[in-house]
Amino acid sequence: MKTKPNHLREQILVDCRQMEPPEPMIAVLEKVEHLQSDQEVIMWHRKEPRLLFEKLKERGCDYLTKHEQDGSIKLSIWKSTYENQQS
Amino acid sequence: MKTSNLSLDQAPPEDIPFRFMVAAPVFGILTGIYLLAYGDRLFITAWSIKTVALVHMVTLGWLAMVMMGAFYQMVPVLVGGHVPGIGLTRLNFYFLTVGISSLIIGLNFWLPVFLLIAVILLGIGITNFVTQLSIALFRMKANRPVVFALRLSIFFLAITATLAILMIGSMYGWWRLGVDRSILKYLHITYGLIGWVGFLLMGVAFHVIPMFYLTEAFPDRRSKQIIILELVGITGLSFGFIFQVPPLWLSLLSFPILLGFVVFIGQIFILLQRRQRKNVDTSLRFWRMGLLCLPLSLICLPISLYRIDEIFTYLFAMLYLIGFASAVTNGMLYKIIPFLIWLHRFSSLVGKVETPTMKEILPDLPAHRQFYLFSGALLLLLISSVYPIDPLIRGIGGMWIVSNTILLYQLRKSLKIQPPEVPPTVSNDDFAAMFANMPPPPPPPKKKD
Repeated sequence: MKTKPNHLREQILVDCRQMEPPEPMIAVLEKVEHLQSDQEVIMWHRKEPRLLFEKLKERGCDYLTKHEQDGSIKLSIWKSTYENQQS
Repeated sequence: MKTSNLSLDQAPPEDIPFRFMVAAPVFGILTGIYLLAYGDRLFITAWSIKTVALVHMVTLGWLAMVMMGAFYQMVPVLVGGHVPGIGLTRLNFYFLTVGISSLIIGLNFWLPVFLLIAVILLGIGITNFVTQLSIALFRMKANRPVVFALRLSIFFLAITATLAILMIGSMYGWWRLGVDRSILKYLHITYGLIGWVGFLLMGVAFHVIPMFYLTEAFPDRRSKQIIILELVGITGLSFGFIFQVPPLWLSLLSFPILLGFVVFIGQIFILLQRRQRKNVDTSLRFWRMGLLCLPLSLICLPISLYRIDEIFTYLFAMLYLIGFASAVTNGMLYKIIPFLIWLHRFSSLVGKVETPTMKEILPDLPAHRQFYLFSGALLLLLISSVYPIDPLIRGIGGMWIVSNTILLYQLRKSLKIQPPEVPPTVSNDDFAAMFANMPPPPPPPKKKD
């Protein structure tokens, strides 16, 4: 099972639970464009944003999904290039 | 915490859903022309061949086009099913549209050769569609209610189409049926309207209402209860028609269908009421209209069984086909089309250039005007069901033409929007190239002892 890397120091929370499509994708991708290697974006959404995953891969990002008890999800997104450089 | 290893971009090429969805208002305009041309002749009896042609303009020309487009988009993207032979869908589109046109010509002008062409083309087209979507939906191991609803919808489409082909063949003496044709007719209507249309619109609602209108999720338990009630009702009603039971028994047997729809409507109203961000746009207005017309149509249906005149049969058809199914699908076009345009053409540009909003792609003001025309036409259709006045019906035809022309124009305009050029950026490679032809730096000076 994949785990989140340890070097992430700063979290940027994007609460998309009251956003209408495609606002969540825009909000997250705009943050991802300026993401530093030690930062992660936490996307808080009502459901799994399946259409976002391809866009994240295109931008060299990796992600993990965490399901909350209320049915919402928290998606952690970070730059995967840092990991590649280390290995 | 788990890794999401869902398959990546599964969206079909954008032209696949678009061509089906844009064909719908074209058939809508033809429906308006038909009303304008024939007026009150279409309201003499619901079973006249011209009225049957009109009904199929709506059920196949409008509803099936939008619904098939939605299936090709929804199944891969929203429920994760792989639709095989997606490229062949473009060819299938022509089988279906030419088949529908042939059916309408064949019925209207009583031309068996066109009906034969329709049977062949629609037979191929629907078989291809059912096969593609069945493989996609039945291969999945999903136990979500939306998947069950979509599977049932496809199953009932297959039966509805088979019954239609059997009836056309027997009508024109191509073969003989061992059963009373009226039994097949009622089964065809029940499976088409409640099975194919009803289950699909329910499945779409389970998914799309929370997604686009920012409600809580549609409870799985409630979805399952609704599906079971509808299935029990359809099964009971089928036995009722086969054994030709009296109207009272038919009313009782259809009760689970009514109950299932009431639970469905009630749950959507609860979800919409509990929203935090209570935005109201044209697509939601269409949904509200649909949810109001659906129970009214289901009240008209059992009443029609007890009456010699066909007023309540017409009222049921208008409320269910136009007020509910056409309204909901019309409203969904205003959400789905701009979302797909944005997804296919602009999503990769986020952060690089400014991307348009959904309302900039498909503005709400013309949509709002179309909604009022649609509502006005529906109201007049209901009046015409009771008082079929010729100029009024022709006037509705005109309204229907304008309403669908507005929709078609808006859809075409939005489909012409193209993404802007992304300004070139200086990459690391470009930066390195700037220094490629420079002379090497001088050696460091030697240190003096």
